[in-house]
Amino acid sequence: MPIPKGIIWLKWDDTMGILVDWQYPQIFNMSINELLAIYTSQTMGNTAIPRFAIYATDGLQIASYFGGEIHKDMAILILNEDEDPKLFKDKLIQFYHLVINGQVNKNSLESRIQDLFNIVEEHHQENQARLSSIEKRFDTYLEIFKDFIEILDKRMKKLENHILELTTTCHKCDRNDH
Amino acid sequence: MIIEKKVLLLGSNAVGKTTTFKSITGELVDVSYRPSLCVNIGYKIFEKDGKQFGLRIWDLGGQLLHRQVWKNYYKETSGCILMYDITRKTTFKDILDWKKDMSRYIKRKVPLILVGNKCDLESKREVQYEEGLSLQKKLKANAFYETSALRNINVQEVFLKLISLLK
Repeated sequence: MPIPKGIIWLKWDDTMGILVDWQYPQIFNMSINELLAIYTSQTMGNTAIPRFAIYATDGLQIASYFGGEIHKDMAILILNEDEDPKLFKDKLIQFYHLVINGQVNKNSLESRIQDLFNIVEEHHQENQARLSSIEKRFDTYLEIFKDFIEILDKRMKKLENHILELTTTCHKCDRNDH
Repeated sequence: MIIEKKVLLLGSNAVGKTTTFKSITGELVDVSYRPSLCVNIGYKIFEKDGKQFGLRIWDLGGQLLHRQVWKNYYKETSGCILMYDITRKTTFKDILDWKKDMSRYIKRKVPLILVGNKCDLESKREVQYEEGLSLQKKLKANAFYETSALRNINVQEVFLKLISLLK
């Protein structure tokens, strides 16, 4: 089942640059240079504006959301390479604002992230179910189509036999007005 | 106790900022050129007069010249190094624009060092040492050095000089 590989929360510091505030799972590791490249590419302009962006790197897909000049925090969602980061846009932004607005406290953060991952997993399950329903329908249509071809085939054969019969009769009596 | 300071390394593309940055922070120096994406940040501890200085060196990509830059890159800056390439006159001319950009974002006076890099490539020199000295005066920079980041000539001296100027 494809689910995000991890999430990283970055904070800005005018002297240090970026700081990894927290990440989930704990063992997931991205280099600080990669994170800095993602962060700084979204902070163009004198006054940085909120931005959602996607990146592809070393077999990973990345969706990130930068909150703009006031908060300066960034949420980075790391996905498998076969996933479409755009699908996670709304959820990531929603999650970002929950954290920023203090609706998620740090103690419950891990369980909230787990919730987020569960939502994403459900989303994938739904997609998977939809896909398998389409496949079933396709199989049914294919069967119907096969039956239809068979019927047509039988009718064609009958017709050919009939024509052959008529032609034979015609040769016997030497007439051509049948 | 380590005295922490933020230092900016500014200059046009391919003048050797990242090579300087790598040679000072101890990263492996790569001779092939790849433009920096916006910002690199490294850290190095220097010792001077029995004190320890932790310099957080910000290497800003050359492509940021004449562009709207996030003002936070410049905040809390304690000192600046403006760098050009002695083998390319255009990078020397760009220094005035870099200074203008720097002054736009940093309102207070901070120590400034002018650096002409790639002094090992004497046969390709387009900017004379005296021109560098004259620009230093024009900019009111605190010091001027010619360096070779690749051959590690004068690089330490630039940073030690900057430390001596930091308050």
